Amino acid sequence: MLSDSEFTELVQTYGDMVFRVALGYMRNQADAEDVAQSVFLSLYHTDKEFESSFHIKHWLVRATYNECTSLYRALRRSPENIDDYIESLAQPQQEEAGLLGEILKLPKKYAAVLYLYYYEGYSTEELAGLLKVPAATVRTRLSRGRKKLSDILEKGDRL
Amino acid sequence: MKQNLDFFDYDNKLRDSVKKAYSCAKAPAGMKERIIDMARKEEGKHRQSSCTHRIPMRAVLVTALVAGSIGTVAFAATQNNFLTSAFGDKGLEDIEVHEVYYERKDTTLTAPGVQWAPVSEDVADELVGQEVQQANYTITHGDYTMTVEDVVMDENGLGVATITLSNPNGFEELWDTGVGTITFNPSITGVNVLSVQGAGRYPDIDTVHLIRSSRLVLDYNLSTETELHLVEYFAPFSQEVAKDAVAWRLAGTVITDGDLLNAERWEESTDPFIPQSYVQSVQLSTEDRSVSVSPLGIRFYGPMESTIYPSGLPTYDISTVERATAHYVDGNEQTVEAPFGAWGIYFDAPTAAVEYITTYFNDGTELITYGPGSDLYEPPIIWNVDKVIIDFADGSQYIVMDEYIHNYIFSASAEDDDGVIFSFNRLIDPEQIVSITVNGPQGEGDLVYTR
Repeated sequence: MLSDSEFTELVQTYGDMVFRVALGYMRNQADAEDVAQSVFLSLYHTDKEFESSFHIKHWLVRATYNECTSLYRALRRSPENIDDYIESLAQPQQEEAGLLGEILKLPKKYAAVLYLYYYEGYSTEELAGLLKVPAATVRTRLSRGRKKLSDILEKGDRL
Repeated sequence: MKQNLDFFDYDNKLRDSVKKAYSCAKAPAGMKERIIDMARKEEGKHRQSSCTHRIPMRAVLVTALVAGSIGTVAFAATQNNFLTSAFGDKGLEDIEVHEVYYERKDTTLTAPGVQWAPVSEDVADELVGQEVQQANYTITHGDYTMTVEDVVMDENGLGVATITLSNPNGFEELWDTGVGTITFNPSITGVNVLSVQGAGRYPDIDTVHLIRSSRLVLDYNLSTETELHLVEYFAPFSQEVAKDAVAWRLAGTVITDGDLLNAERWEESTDPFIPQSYVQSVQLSTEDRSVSVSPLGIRFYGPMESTIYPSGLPTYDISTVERATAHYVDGNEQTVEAPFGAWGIYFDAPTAAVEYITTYFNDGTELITYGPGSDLYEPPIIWNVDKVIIDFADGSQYIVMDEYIHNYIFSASAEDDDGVIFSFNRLIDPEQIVSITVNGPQGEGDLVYTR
């Protein structure tokens, strides 16, 4: 079981990542916070043996998706408009926030792969394990996500 | 086709954009603190103590490194390490047993073939432990060092090897692991594809030939940022080739000017490893056919020449391929005509740049395959039978394959006109086999192989 100090360190280290994964799925800040809270409390209570920090990160991403799926089904509501959250972000980051908003409006399967691959550095094979789809499917999603992101960047003259 | 793909420059721009975008999406102020505070309040209320002990990451890594360093003097320790890596439960419970789906054209196929059947060290030791041999071959190129540690092979040339690949600069840009290759981001490492591939040598000929099919599995539990631990499950191009000698190759594609078409390839090979012993197999037969099966895999003896087809569409013969098009991830395409069928089609850019390949047959049919590699277009094989079933004495069954052979196995190979050979996704005890049934080969009825 994790000690309090280990748990605190993990929340500090992976809190942003879990929130981002949840935000990409739920597209609502409050729901993403709820998911993050639930995931970390599950981590706090688990008896699972972790052999490495990579293993913990893997577990957190997987647990976040599981929690998102459960919450999303339970809520049974239409996707939230992500614009409210984007508008709440700080002004100095307006361009980046705008881009984030456009990425989060992409189909979830593409946005998720783009984030986990480019930001978190997962390989397509690792993503196959995380997302429970074949690596070929991950590569297809990544390729199509790239194309959609390129279109967004080209439209904004950012590529 | 556009001559200068600039794929990696393009990819880095996308990476930078994603990083910038997501950098402004941090956990809301106070969220982390609230979670930590909530957990502390729950301590002692609901949290259960555990009798198990977590293994600190450092301890695991040190254990692995020590086992490697004393491998030359402690065979038993090496053997146990090998059995743990190759056959033990790797702890990948999320992908151990579940169903996944292939999205191929409009068809969704149930593909339980990614199932990994963990085998305890005790069982593995009993079945193959005595035949585990140390190779300890090391080759280097630049900062890369590859060591082939231990190998076990059966009488049919099927084998398993443990391999360590290290680089003091790390593998942060590791992209992928797959069939025989590991892919890196060349803009960071200067190397695109590292091919760690088994090879075989024909008797009395010095030239080392590639093993037909191998699959690399990355052991996440043992691997670190600077040292990758891999297990390779391989099937031979030919039984005789593999039994004579096996070698391993480390190859890379170096991108110097960002132009994939100008990439330079390098490769280093180990000395040939000559097996001193083999895991024994047992023979079963029908009236006119036979099969050889070991704990590692199975070999069906021919004639099989009419049963080998490209994966996915078993009714097509590769000789009827007219042309193939590689669709690159940056949107470019390259079409190669195939006047002599699919064998020998080469594409220019390395594997990392290929999203999928479309194969066009002479009757107008198209076949899409994902990630088959671009250096050599070689469709995976499929044996055109409905199902292969092994029945054991205790009444249990192992369905070795159904029509989608590639989903069930680690590797497979067709021995020209002389049969089909492939490895299991688990260890079995051949002595417990009662019969092996093959449903419907070549339009025939069931074949039942017995002792």
